[in-house]
Amino acid sequence: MTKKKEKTFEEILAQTEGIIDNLESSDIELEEALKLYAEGISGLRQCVELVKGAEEKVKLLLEESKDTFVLADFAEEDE
Amino acid sequence: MRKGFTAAFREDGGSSELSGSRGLTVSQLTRRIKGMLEGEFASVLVEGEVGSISRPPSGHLYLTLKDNRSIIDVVIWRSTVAKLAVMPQEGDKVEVKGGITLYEPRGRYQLVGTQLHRAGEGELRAEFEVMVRRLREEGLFNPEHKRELPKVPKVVGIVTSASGAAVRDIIKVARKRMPSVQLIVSPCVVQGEQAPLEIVAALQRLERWGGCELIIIGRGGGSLEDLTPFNDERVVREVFACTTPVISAVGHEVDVSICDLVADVRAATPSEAAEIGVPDVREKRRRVDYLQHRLVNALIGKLERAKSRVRLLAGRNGWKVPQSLVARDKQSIDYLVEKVMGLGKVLVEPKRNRLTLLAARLEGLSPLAILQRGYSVTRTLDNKVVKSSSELEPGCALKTNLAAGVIYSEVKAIEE
Repeated sequence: MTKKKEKTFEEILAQTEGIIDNLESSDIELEEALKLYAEGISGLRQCVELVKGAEEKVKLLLEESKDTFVLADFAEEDE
Repeated sequence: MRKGFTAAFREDGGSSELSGSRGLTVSQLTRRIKGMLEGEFASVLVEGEVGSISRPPSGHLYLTLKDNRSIIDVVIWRSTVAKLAVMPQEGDKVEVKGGITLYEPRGRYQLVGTQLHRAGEGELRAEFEVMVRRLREEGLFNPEHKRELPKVPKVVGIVTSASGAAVRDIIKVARKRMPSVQLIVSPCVVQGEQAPLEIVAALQRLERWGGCELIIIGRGGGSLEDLTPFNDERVVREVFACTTPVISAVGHEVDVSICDLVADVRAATPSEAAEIGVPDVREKRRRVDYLQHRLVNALIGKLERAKSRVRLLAGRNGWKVPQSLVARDKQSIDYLVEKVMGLGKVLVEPKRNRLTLLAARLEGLSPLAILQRGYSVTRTLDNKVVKSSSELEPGCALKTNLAAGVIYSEVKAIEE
């Protein structure tokens, strides 16, 4: 699938890394530092959102009739 | 008759057993037949259809090979079975290479197979190679057609048998790495004549449904099933035509299928396909945690520098008026702590500890707090902070600020 408008995990992470580099190296005012900090935190929050999430059930893709799809529960055997 | 029979029945044939009047024991005869058979048919290649087949726990493979007139027992020892490229099935036309042996206790002969192939495999192999060459020349395997896999696919399609080991392996591995990944099984048979059409249909079904970011096409967890359907040109072209990136986990570890060649990425097993396709979020969490750590530390660094500035300021203005300045800075630092703690509420656990630590360190920012810990500041009378004994000479007057009170003193001696 091609890229969607929303940023990917890697993009956000890279951006946050840039913010941290900036915070670590440059001589900026405290207020500005705090702003960067807030930005960084919100980026990291988004990253956490992207990778966490509840366990999804496995589905079986069936086609009832031409181009009419049904997602049925996939019966997982216990071994 | 009876007498002659008795005469011929002897324990030991002796040296005259070839003479017409004397008979052989059963074991003598058997041994002679064995010698002739095994000598004559030490190495033969025989073609036939597999009749009954069994593989007892010993691991040896017993089968019968037949044509429309005859039948012969075949045994393939366990060590040879392990090396077979295909496990023969009842009804298969096969070629067996081996030698005849005779089992004396039962007087039965059998073919001990050392090699077994599909009949006509040579021609099939040649056809296969022609097709591979044709597809390669057409550019189907070219690297520029290989698409990049999505880094974090939310929905992954699986094309394989719904009941095989492959689908179970993929589900197990994918779940462990990323519980929130949505797996969509598009079922198909992966063996037999219908397999190519079903595989194509299963791929198309996923494509037309359109929700997948990645497709894994897989087949039996390392078992010796037939690769043929995945070498079918219809399947190969469908994989090539997929708009969704495809990982193929079809071949054995040594045998590559054409499906593997045309897919964007090849995996040795279905489990490996899941490992390649689905990111390990545990690893990503570690990266996020690391960045959180760095971020908090970076802010602490900033505040440390602010602290030095407060000290410097206090130093410049002397201790006559520091209280108000310090109070002002301390207030603004308190304000920062509050803001940082406020942000902290949205964070997850590990960082909360960092922030507690941060708050504790901020407490120590005020020069007064430092003095409270028992440190003192020593200056010359013109308010220059003394940082090194080399700045002084014996006789210099000094004043020292403590947490409570000031001491005036004079330098007696100096040590570097």
